[in-house]
Amino acid sequence: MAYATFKELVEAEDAGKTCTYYWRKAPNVTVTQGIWYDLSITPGMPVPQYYAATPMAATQMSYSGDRGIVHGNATSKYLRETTVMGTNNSHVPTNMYLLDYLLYYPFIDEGTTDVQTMTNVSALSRYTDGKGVKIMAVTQGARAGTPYFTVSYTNQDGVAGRTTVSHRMNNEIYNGAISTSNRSTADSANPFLSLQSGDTGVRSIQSVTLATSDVGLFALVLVKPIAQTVYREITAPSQKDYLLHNGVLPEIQNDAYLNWIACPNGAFSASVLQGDIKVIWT
Amino acid sequence: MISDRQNQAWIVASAAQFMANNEIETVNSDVIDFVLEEFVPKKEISNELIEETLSSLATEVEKVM
Repeated sequence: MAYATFKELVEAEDAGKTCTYYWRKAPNVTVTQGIWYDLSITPGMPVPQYYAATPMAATQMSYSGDRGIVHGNATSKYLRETTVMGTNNSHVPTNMYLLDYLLYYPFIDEGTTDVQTMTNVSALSRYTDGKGVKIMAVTQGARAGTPYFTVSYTNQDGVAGRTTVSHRMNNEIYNGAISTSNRSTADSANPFLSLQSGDTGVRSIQSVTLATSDVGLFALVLVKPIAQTVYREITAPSQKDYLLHNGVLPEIQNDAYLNWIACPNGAFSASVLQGDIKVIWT
Repeated sequence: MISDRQNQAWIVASAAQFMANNEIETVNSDVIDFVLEEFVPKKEISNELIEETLSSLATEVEKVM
């Protein structure tokens, strides 16, 4: 049930209608400075996921199917607080997004410039109108070059045949790097693809075309950004209260698959990012 | 058309997912059995490709995990 007043939120908290979950991620690769990285595939808690499904077939993600960050069983709930801590000063500040991972198309082959058609055997099960849904490209196999590519998709109004801006991939060699993430390269996307002018979201992806072939593999993931925070220093946790700092509590839909992406401002390896999220329902 | 490279990556990622879900740290007979049960019935993936993938599974899984 949606909240209408702050009083309802206070009463809900007094009544114990909250869920707090501790998460911890420790990358076993060296994440490059300024490159966004997908913490959902990183060892730790919650258990990692590797986008392991039929190549190029739409596959839904959910808490019940894939786990992710725990957020309780209430059907309608809100993000109250997030806390982030770390053990290494070398990569602060680290910008972070909490995402609801909705649908993915895995193992897209960079070895061809042919149009690669996706199989839409599943559709969005949350945010079904596609409004605010973004496309994120995640590296699943090391590439050698920095190829350009475009994605053909159906937008938030159900119009098919829309095309993203042509984006350039990075040549990071580790799985989980956001493929279009770069510090200074023109035409990178950081971390979500730019849609065709006028579009505000995505319902599904029809095809992918690379301008030049390479050797890597990547997944396209449809995500809904829920919240943003920053890991600032090791001496104090970064706590964000979404009521105080944003004036509104982001909604978390039922059965959402929640996890983080992060952009370290320095090499990020052999260290831990951890924290918790607190969810409330009325 | 799905290439052998894509199917191989799928097999390796599936094995890695099985290991993560079951808290298995190194490739063992349970992992091999999982791959065989999961992929041998799939007609679009040849047995030769599965055998080839299994021969280097431990190395490839490390890259994923």
